[in-house]
Amino acid sequence: MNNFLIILVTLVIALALTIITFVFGEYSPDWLYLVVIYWILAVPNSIGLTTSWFIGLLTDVAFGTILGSNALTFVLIAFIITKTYKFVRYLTVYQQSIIIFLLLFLKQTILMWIDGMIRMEEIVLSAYYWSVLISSLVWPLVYFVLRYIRRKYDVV
Amino acid sequence: METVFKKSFKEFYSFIILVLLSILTIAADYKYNQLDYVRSLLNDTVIYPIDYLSTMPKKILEASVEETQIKEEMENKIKLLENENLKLKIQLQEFQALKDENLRLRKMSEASSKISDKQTLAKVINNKAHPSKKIVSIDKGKKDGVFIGQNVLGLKGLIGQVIETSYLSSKVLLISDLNSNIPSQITRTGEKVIVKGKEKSNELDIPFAPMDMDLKLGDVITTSGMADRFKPNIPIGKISAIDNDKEKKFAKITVVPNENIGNSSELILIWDYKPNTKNE
Repeated sequence: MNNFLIILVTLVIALALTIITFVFGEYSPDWLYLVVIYWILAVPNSIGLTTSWFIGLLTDVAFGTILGSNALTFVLIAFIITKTYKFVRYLTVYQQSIIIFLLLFLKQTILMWIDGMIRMEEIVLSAYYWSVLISSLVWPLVYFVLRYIRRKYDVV
Repeated sequence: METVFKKSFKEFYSFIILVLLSILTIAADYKYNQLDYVRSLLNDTVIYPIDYLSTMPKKILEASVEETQIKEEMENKIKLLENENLKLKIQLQEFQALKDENLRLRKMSEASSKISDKQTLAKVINNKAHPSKKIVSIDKGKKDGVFIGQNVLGLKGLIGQVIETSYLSSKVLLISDLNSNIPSQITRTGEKVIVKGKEKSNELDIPFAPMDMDLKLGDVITTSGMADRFKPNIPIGKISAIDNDKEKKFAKITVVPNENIGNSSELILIWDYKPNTKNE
């Protein structure tokens, strides 16, 4: 119960941060992705695939993107992390940043592909890929803050 | 060992099922617009409260400043005057366009003769509701009868249109967004052009204007009402720069909008124009 509550609170804060940092435009990091990736890495059974699918659906609503696109990438990333957490967990934080960069790059490419397929809008590359770089730079911060929370409240 | 395999397979199958479900969701949302209800529900129950709370500190600060300065009586009086001012300004917008039309000795079209009598003021909750697009969220939703495609004005001119509604709030796409194309006209000559958003928020573009088009600096641009998206004769802005580079096919024309788009805290919704959004 305690675990559930702590994780829920961090997710709500991540969602609030997402909405607040809309101000920074394409430079705003993907807080929700970072938080979900952290929890799956640290406590593999904490966030299942179905939960991450729902978080993705919420992200879609917050961003106003087509329903299901972020859900798809969330499930994909959650699946990759649950399969590889044993390896990723023992990398240093900065090496993990590179993994995050690759994962989010993949995710943005899929999102852009979906956008390109179904919408008749101009696609601006910078709108997609700046956030990947910024997110991977922000990862150490997210990692240390969440690790502190996890140790303090003993989430296992 | 067997149990590990079983668990792994179970995970794999749920992964495949969820991926298929996502694709199904995308198809349902895109092709059939069946999921507006889900979107609206999630928006009202989760996103709206968080959005509201996250902008709370700023609002409390603003409110406390206001309280110390103005007494209640004054506020009431100001509200009355503001309402009156609003109506007059909206009428003025349309008179400006009518004046230009009269100069050309044209008969007014039927659509432009009516002046909106019902307006609703909407407060902006978040004036950056999307990381890359220019979308603002407002505090009026289906509860107040807001509909998709509804025209949104400021005091001096067009601001945008409603693109998404939920029960409590809705989202407005600003005309300065890269993807909004507004059918408009130059009031002096009556020529039809398309005004497009730019990366910069305080400038608009006319991308496909022929070289020999009759344009002058300061020409007033209003909506034309073509394509049935915007009400005719809402002012948009003035031409601020004309670049006739002979090497290119089209002249490069910059328009400065009347309204400070994206920074206003209050927007006006008009009700007497129902745009045609069926063919989308």
